[in-house]
Amino acid sequence: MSAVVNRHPHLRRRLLLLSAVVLIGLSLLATGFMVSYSKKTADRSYDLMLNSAILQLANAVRHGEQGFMVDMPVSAFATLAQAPEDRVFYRISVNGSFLTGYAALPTPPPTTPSQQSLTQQQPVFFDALFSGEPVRVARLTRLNTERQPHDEIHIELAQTRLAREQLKDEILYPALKLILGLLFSALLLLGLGIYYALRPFTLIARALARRRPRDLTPLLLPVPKETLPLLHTINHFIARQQQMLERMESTTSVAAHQLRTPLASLRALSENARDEQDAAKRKTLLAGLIEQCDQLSLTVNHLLNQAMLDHRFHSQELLPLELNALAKKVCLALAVPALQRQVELSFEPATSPLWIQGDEIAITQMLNNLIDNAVAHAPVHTRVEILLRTSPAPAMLIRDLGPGIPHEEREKVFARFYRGSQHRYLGSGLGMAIARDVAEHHGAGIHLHDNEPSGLEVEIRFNTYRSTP
Amino acid sequence: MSRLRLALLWLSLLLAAPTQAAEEFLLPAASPMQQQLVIYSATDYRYLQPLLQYFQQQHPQLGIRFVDLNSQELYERFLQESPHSPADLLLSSAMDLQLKLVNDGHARPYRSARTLSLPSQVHWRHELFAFTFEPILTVFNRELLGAHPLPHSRQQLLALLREDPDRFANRIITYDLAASGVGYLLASQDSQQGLMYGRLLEAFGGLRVQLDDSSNDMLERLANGEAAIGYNLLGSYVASALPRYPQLVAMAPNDYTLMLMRLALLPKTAPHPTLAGEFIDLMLSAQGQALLEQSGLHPLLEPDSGQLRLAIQAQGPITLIPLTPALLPPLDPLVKQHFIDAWSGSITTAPPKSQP
Repeated sequence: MSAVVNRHPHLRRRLLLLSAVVLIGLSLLATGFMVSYSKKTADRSYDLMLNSAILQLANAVRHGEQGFMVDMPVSAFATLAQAPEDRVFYRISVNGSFLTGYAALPTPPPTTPSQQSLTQQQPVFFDALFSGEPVRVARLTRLNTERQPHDEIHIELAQTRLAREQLKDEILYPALKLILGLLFSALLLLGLGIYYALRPFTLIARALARRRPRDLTPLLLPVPKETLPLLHTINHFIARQQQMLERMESTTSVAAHQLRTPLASLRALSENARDEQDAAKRKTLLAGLIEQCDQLSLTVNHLLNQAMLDHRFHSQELLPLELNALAKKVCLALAVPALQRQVELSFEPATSPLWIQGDEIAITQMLNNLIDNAVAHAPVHTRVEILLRTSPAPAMLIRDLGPGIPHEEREKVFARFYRGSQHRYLGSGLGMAIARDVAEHHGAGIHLHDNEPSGLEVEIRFNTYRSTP
Repeated sequence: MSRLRLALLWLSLLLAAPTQAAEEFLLPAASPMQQQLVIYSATDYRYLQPLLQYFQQQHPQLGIRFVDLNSQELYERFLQESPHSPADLLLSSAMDLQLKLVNDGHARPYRSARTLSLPSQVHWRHELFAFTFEPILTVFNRELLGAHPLPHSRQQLLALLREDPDRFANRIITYDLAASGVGYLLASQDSQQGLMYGRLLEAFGGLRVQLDDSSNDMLERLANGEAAIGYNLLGSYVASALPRYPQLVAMAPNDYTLMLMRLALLPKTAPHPTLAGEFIDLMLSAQGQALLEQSGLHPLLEPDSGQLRLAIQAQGPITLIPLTPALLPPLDPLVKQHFIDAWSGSITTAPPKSQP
């Protein structure tokens, strides 16, 4: 069972998974962007504050009578108190030696000396770890020009990152909430969309499952345009089933009737022959019995043939077929039985090869039936002509000099078990019907014309043919 | 009360710091002792005694060792002992020193429902908690003022000193900045308020100001007539002295009145942080604040709303010393040295013969 499930991809799950992967990927990208953006923004705002404080601090370092002193500006620290929860550290060193503050404060990452001007207007900022907490450090270099040589004053001012992190979170969290909200609503909408998009299939499946076995009426469902072709196909399929079923039913009932009647007649004839004392009359009865047997045998044969052809029509593909050769073969096979009836067969192939897509057995059957018919209707010592031609249309013609078929009957002869008004000859009443079925299966038309000087011409006109396979 | 036997011990810490002496109070546990909470405090034992006893009632197996120190000693002793200090709690009104301990990473954050509801002005980083207010007052011995009216501002005080220098020579007393953490804090805060403090200091110096490092000592000297004017005394000590000494009168200057907060700090190295946290919660609870008020301190919080309460009736504006890193710059060794040098310079502008 699971193997079956695996072989059939779960469309809804796949669509959802794919869109979820894409959406989550996009959300992660947006989140990554927001994380770096919020950190940068928070750093920028608090760096301004640190910048202002370190400039005040730098101005407070002076050289007095007892060496360097710092008039530590409370205002600078009050400025830093805008980040009220953050610890503050500083270090002031002159000419490389520590003056005051926190001696252990980390030094900045090394920069190439050529890039760093000796006296900076603006501090450089960097992140570091100090006293167990991440800190943001500003570093500024100033020159004290009151003495010769000039003194180089380094000032570092550091602050823990609590306020920055808080501001970062204040920027980040609403954005994350928005991203998450969008992600979930998008997934939800997609889920709903996919559900509604695929729902017609479920509806169709359910409607089919609910049907009673004999219900072959078309499905009528208000499905969207996109699923209409599927519905049409299903309805077409149902219609075909319906047709087949109907045909099978009628064929079966007609065939049953057609078999029952001759069997009853056979039995009656046999009883008559058994009871007949007169030898000459019994002989006539027995001859009739044999004729009935032949008739029945032909009918059974045709019925089986038709069943066989029906099956082939549904199962066999059409293959390239050369009609000249095929017709010749059939004529050769039928020539002897025809001669026994004192009828000649003449065969005239087309001037060039006649290739069609066809079923060899079906076409053979059709020709058999048509030539048999022609031979059966032909008066003795006449000739049945079988000719093939390529123009004006590729066609096979079978001509006899028999009585022909009155115009008003020409459609009826194709009906099953129609034996014509005269009913003078042996036949199953299926030969013409089978011929027409075969012709239709090959996309060919079957037409009846008057023959000259008398008789019938059957024309099978092909719509598609080629001169090569 | 009766089941609590109080042991009063005098301990001289000769080995650690020869000049430092600390009073130690041991509150033994009612039942066999399981733990001992060690409190270093710059607030006098008697103000906290009811609170400590109340806390012990809730923890019968708890003993308390209460070490009474001056704020500067407290800071130095803790740093000296660090990282093996036995202290579970540091209580001090030297806001700058307490804040520096936090800034330098010696504190442990403490969060409870109580502390999380505190207004932001009264705690820093959840590592430093104010538990009382302390208005900074000027105290006069009324008898020694003579006919002079009571001054109500620093300007009036300065005018008084200039008007009658002989009366007040050698009769002014204030904190010794070099010895007292609170004294230095108040002086540095004063100096940030404007030029008036400088002028006042000059006048003090000219009149050979007396220096001390304890509010209570100063109040006694004011009461017994050794001094006539006490500048920058802690309000709670003043409040409890006034009923005893009717000759004393206190004044909250109406130019500005400094307002100090007593701060509790839970050291990172505290052996019993949970107990210390509970004690902080108690100090900040309605019950704790009431007990502090009963013993004479100014409670920080309204009993019901937990709102900030300014209990002092001051004439002029109140300057609440802010609990921010702005307390740090005066503690810079260079700055402090410079400030104290300048201050001693002002003080010793007295006639050379009076110098020690």
